[in-house]
Amino acid sequence: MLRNRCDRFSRLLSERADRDLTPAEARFFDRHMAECPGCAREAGISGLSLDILRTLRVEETESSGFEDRVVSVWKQTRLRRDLGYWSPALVGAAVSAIALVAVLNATARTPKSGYQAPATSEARRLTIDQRFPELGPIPLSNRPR
Amino acid sequence: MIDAQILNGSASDAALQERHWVARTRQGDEAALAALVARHRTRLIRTASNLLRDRHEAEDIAQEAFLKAFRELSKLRDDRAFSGYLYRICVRLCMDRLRLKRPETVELESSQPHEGGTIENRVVIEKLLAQLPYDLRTTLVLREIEQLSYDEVADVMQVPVGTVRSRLHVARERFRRLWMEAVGEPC
Repeated sequence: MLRNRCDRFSRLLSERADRDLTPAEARFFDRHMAECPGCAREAGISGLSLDILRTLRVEETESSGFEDRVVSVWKQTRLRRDLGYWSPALVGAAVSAIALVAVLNATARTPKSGYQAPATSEARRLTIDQRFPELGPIPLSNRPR
Repeated sequence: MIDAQILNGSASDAALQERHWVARTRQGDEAALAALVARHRTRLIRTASNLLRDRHEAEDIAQEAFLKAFRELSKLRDDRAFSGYLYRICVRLCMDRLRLKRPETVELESSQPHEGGTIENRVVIEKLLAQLPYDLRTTLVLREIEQLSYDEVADVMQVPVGTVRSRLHVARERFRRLWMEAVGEPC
């Protein structure tokens, strides 16, 4: 029975921190505190411990650069997200560019229409006359005697 | 005491300005985003510091709360509710962090009653707070240190008011018992 009364007292002790007790509750509270030394001691401790707990409240202090850090991280996050969104298109564009360069290179090696490189046998007939190097390669048949 | 801002109408101006910033942030305006950070930074870091008892960790959590709030801004249906929405995110992130930490079992020399100065008692209180489970600790801190009402605590922790009342009772009782053990009082 005493345990039940102590439990009720303990609950009222907690409630009392947040609201005014009803007259009936207040009478019970005062009566029990007078007859139960343990609960009376607990009531004293409760007030003190909660008072000290409230002093732990952190004072507002300045934190320099906090906004800049948040905005910076936010920008990076958005950039990563946007890159992730656009990466398939970027990869596709890169592949297309490589393919285009390859095609252009291959096209550059192909002979132009209407132009024919000299046949190999004809190319052999060209020679440089060492006596007249300034003339450049000349057909053998045209070489000055 | 009536807030001076309410008397001269600047409270409603501030609310209107914040709604405007939230709307602009939804459209990608980084200046509006920075303004929201500047407005709520102090409160978030203070709350996280009160819950986590570590300044550096508190700043990390506050930063994470802002980024999460902006990332999930589409979940906010009413721009007027941004402040509460941000605060809830911060408290939940703190609770997640506390959940990962086990309640500390601290051995205090109960043979030496702490009749000493304020600093010694505060050190003891810090250690006792660390011994509470994360949900009781959060409830106790929000009520006793952050001075939130029962309804506000319930809203932040997304639990019924009855649960807040019950948790607060258990938290206060447990905290009281821990203090009595610490100061050498028989329980």
